[in-house]
This record gives sequence, C-alpha cells and structure tokens, in this order.
Amino acid sequence: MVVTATAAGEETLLEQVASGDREAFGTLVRPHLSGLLAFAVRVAPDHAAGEDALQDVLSQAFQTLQRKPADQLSQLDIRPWLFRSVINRLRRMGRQRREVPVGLSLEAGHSPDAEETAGRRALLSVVDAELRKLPRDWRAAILLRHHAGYPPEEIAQILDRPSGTIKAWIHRGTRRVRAALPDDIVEGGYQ
Amino acid sequence: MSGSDTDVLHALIGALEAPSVKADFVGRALERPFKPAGGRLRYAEFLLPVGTLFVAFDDAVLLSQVGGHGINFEGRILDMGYQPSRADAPVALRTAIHALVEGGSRFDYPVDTGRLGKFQRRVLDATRAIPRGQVRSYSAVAVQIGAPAAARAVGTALARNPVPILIPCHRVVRTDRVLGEYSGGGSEVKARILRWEGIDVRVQRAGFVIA
Repeated sequence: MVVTATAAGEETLLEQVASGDREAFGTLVRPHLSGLLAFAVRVAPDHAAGEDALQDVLSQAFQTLQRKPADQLSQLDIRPWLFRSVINRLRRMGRQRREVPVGLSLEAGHSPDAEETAGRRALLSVVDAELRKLPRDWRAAILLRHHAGYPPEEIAQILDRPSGTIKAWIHRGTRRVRAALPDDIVEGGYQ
Repeated sequence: MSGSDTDVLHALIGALEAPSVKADFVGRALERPFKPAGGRLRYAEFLLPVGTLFVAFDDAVLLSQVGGHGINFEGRILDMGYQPSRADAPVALRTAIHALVEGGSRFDYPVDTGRLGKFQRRVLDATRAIPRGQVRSYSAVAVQIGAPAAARAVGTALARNPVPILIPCHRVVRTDRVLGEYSGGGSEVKARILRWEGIDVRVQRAGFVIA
C-alpha cells in the first residue's frame, strides 16, 4: 500500500516546486492527501484541528521545499516527510493548548455501498472510537502501520522514536482496541 | 488474541474511512498566510575554524549545523515548524560559543532537547560530558547510560543529534577507533573537528582512524 515516488516524475516536480511553482506543488502532494487527511483527523483532537494541521503543513512544506539544497531535494521521499510534518505539528499544538480529548467527531461514511453492511460500519466506528482512547503517539503508530502501510522501521523515522518503542506501541495499542471489540468479529463485520 | 483475529482487526483499521478531500484543499492551504505553529525562531552564524556554525535559539539552542548554506538551515527551521529569522545572538550565547572556540570542553548554554525521545536525551546528556581532547566508543556510552546492549542505538541517536558541535557527538567513535559516520557532513568533517580539538587522526585503509 505504500506509494513510492515514481522517481523521475517526482524529481522534476520537486525542482519546479523549489522554484516556487504552486501548480507543481499541487500535483506533487495530491496523490497523498486523502491518506494524510485520514491520519491527521484521527491523530488530532478533532476533525477540524486535523484539517487545519494538514493545511498548515502543506503551506509550510511549500516554503521549506524552496529552501532545500538540491542534493537533499533529490533524496526526499515526500510522503513520509509529510506524515512526519503532520505529527510534529500536532505534537506542538498539543503542547500549546493542553490537549482535551474530544469524543469521536469523524462523520460516519454515508456512502453505503452494497458490500458495506450495517454491521461492518458499526464495527468500524467502534474501532475508530477505541483508537481515539489511546495515547496520541500510539494511535499515530497504529494508523501509520495499518492504514498508511508503513513498516515499523519507517514509522520509527516518521515518529522519531526507536523502532522497538514503535513495535511495543502498536502491539499494546491493537491489543487494547481488540479487547473492546466483540469476540466473534470476522472480516465482514459482526457474524 | 489469535493470529487471524489480529489480521481481521488490522484489515478493519486499514478500512477506516479516508475523508474526501475537496478540490481546492491545496489551493486554500497555500492562500492562507503562513503561520508556523512555533512562531519565529532566530538564528545566527558563527565562523569557526572548522567551518560556519549555524545556531537556532530562543532561550535555549534548538538546532545547529556545521557548514552548508544559511538558506538550507532556514529550510530545517521551517521543517521544525518555525519561521526562521536571522538575528544577533544574545551575549550569553556568543560567550558560550566563544569559550568553545578558545578550547573549552563543554558548551555552557541551555540546549532544548524536550522534543526528543527519552533514550536520545540520555545519550546526548552522556555525550555532552565528554571532555575536549578525549573520545569514547559507542559501546562505552551505551554502558554509561545503563544500556550496554544498545551501542547501535547510541549510534542512531547521535546521528540525529540536532545540535552538532554544541553537543560533541564527534567525540564518540567506533570501538576499533575508526571515526564512523558524522551527521554533520561525513567522517571528513568529523576528522577535521577532532583534529581541531587536538586528536591525532590518521588516514588508513579503514578510513579515518585515531592514532
């Protein structure tokens, strides 16, 4: 699931962005936005704060990319770099105004396609709510692992913590979420 | 929790809804006045015998860089979420750096390591205490912080030292006295800094080695 940059195309785009090209920046980040937003709104105290953080990150990234040396620019993997910026931004926001845990504010998906049973939707909303009860960094690690699809070693880079710590967070966190779910869950939702 | 059970949970997490992104999301982001979460962060340049030292500070030092260009240092400050602003360093900071240039062992000014992990802070604290003109091995630092098996992790923690020179990660080398990597620009820069501090560094087949 990890989207790796198509090297040549992304490199040209990065050069254009470095010279201040807004269009190129849009093209560069667009493929990653949905995943980044899904991450930001779940790691942030609430949906609006997550959206706000991602917009700030984008505006900051546009500034930063115009100041990166060419050799670093060519090595930059944009997607993990943006995830990293999002978590760092949320960590700072958390310090500035003491984070108040807010209830689940994610709108439930209202696109009931045929396969999406009511049972499954209910289960997903419980998973979402349980994730919210975890410490922020645990939640971030679990989402990076199972939603964004990064291996623990890369999550260690993104969250700037040792990979042993990351593995422990993911393990304990998923166990806690699992404990809150009914015993008989199956892929499609409740049996 | 059985294996397949865990897989189901993982699949569920993977299936959590990704909110739809409006078409003008990026456009709106770039329209908004850039307001870094951390506000302004000042930085100054110092000319050292080993190259230009860039130092970003508020009431403590947050980031430094040996060599390179100011514009790239600004990029790193932006990366941290601050708006870079070039300024004169406060007298106390200038004095502390001057003392280092004059041969002082320890950088006598606060360093903000608050955003780093606990392990990395312990490594950096231990490294900060290594006197000028001396070196330690990665494993010796690991032993000193009470994690004797973690020599490799010590290397990683030092490779991500946000304040090279000021916390002297260049004074930590491999057990076989080969210099090893240096985040501030490779082992040549590490050799240059150690020579400046009076250590005899030779070039051998293995690379830069302490005599």
